[in-house]
Amino acid sequence: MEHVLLLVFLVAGVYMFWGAREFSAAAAEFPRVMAGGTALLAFLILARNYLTVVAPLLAGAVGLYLSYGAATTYLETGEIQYRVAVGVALLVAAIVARDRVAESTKSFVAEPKQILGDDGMDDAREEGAQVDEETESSAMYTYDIDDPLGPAVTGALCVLYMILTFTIGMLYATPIFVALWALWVRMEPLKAAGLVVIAFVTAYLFYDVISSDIAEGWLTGWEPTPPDDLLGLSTLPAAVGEWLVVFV
Amino acid sequence: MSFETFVDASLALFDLEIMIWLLAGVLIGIVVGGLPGLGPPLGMAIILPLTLPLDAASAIILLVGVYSGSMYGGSIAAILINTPGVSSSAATMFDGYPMSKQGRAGTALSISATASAFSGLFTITALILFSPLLAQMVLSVGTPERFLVALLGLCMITVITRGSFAKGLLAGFAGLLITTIGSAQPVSTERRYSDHLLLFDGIDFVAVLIGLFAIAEMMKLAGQKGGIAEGDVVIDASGIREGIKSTFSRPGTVFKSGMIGMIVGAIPGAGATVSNFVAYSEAVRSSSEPDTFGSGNEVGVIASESSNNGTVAGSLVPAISFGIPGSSSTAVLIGGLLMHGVTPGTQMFQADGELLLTYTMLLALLIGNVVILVVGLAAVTRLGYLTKIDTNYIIPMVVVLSFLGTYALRINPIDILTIIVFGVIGFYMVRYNYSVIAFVLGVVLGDIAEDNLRTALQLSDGSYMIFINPFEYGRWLSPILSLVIFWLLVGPFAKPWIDRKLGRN
Repeated sequence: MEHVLLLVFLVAGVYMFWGAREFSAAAAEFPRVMAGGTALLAFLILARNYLTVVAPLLAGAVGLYLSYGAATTYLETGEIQYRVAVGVALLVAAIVARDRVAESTKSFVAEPKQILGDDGMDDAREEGAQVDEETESSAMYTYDIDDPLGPAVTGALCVLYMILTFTIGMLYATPIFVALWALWVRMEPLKAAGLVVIAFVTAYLFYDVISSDIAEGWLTGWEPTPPDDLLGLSTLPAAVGEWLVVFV
Repeated sequence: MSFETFVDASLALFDLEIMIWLLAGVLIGIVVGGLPGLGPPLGMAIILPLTLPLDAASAIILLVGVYSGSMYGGSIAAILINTPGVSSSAATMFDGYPMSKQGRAGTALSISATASAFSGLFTITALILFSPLLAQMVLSVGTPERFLVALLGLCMITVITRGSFAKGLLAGFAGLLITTIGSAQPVSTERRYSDHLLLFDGIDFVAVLIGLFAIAEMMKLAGQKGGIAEGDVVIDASGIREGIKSTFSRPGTVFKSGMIGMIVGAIPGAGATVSNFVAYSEAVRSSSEPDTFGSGNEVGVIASESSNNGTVAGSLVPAISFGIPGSSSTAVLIGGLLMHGVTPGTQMFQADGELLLTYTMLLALLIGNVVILVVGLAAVTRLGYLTKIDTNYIIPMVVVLSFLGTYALRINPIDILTIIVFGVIGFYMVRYNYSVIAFVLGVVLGDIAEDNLRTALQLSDGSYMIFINPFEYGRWLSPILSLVIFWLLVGPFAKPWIDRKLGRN
């Protein structure tokens, strides 16, 4: 799945780099740099097992691209751009120092970096403390999945929730989602019912207080009968009964 | 420091509405922090869209209340069931849980409340006193420097986080890329990668935050064994006084750990997780009985809990000064500021800008720490209930609140798609060690970075030398920042070569 993630980044980067060609020069600069950087890094990490070959080729390609762009600009406007130096340097490095380029790129891509040094967790471990794999990293951590089906089902239910929202609106999609979740985790019926009610009340509060548009299905334009009106309908039998009594 | 503004901010706190939001925020934070698998970024992300009807001051105070409260709340599960409620309480487990097993859970929890509160009090006070200097520094920083600081923040995060530098950089670039969808404000031009009208306004960063912090976390939680108490957790109320005495008898540890938290917290991407461990290991190192750590030494709990609440003050420094999140939580806080029309930076320190909001927020945090102390000590014997809540109840409610909150923002179906897409992306990013905080930083900073870049280039007539040449433009900070960024980026390439030249392995 990591390859899929990297492919998503790569495709997004390439697509947006290509798409930016339709923008004005000023508007295109930032997206092109970011898209180019994203695509380049995603490609490097994807090809990390083949960097010995790929890295010098990529360095050469990037060098050629920068040099070509600078040369074109010079021919058109007479302006010398700094990127010609960067482009030429990359080209030269790719040809003359391929091994070093490959080694440096491997070091950059494949190995964890901790330039600021130990953050104390190793000391803590030495002191006999149990350091969880999950808590080692500072701003991020890896973790083990006990049940791989859990995230997949949660994700699938979220997608279904979205589809229901787009068709029947979020007001009624919400209790359906919670009910399906309760079914999946085999929740006790009473607790499941309670959770569904809480979810529906929450959705209703959003509908009533923040925005009633959440009850409309965006794809279908359909807006199911709101609870207030349904409540009105619930008194219909009593009203009919009264009428019958009067009639009789 | 503008004294008049400070006084106005103090008076503003007497507003009942402000107090209610502060109390609500701290209480929600304690609960969110106490429930394993949640945490302040998630809690703040879910509350973020709900703050839309509120004014900026109430919204920000609610968010910082959650932030501060959750720093204490995380210690509850760490002490009672050996599972940190938040990653910033991981080191609290080392001695807190052994104390709990020894029947001293009440002492550990009261130490946590007291140390958290007092550390928070003095670090926020230090920040308030330091704020005039900070204001001068921020106001002297120009447009090119602001762009470079944003870039530096991004590079720092990729350095700080354990893991591949390239992965961190990729995450940062991807986050910045997301912000290019929509319109380019500096040049008032649309940027449409597709003709879909719904993407006209770009990707909403609040939806991205909710996807990354809420949906991704719930997916992860669904795949893990729940961190709930398997039996009754006994908490002895008589340990409360002992815990308070223990904390007061070690003011040096509280002060030192709090300052470690504040300094580390100010480093973008470091956050309370790092400060937690740094403070703990420093306490071990400086102790005359290091062997007692890990088996119920109270100093261990004091150190870790002091540091994580000290981090709150530290992380606010880059956040309000430059809009650079010191942690995931401050990334959400910055999102809240932007959502309410407040741009972090010079505006936050100008008397005719948002200085009132800045002081109100800091003073509210001071009071928030008092609330933590009172609630924490009063509720010691009841806190065990939090550890009994099954994640099967938490997950659907968090998803529901995420969907409702996000959709209610703009009634734009793209926002729902956004939270799901970034929820899945965030899940796998964390799974495979890609820095979510770098990604979030990119999303939050994208517009700010581009705006400052564009303006800087206008000042220099399109020349990038404004970032490098001090002689032509008279700016000395820019070349220094550029050099640091250059070394951070090139260093990983150059280090093996340098090591070889110097004869190192």
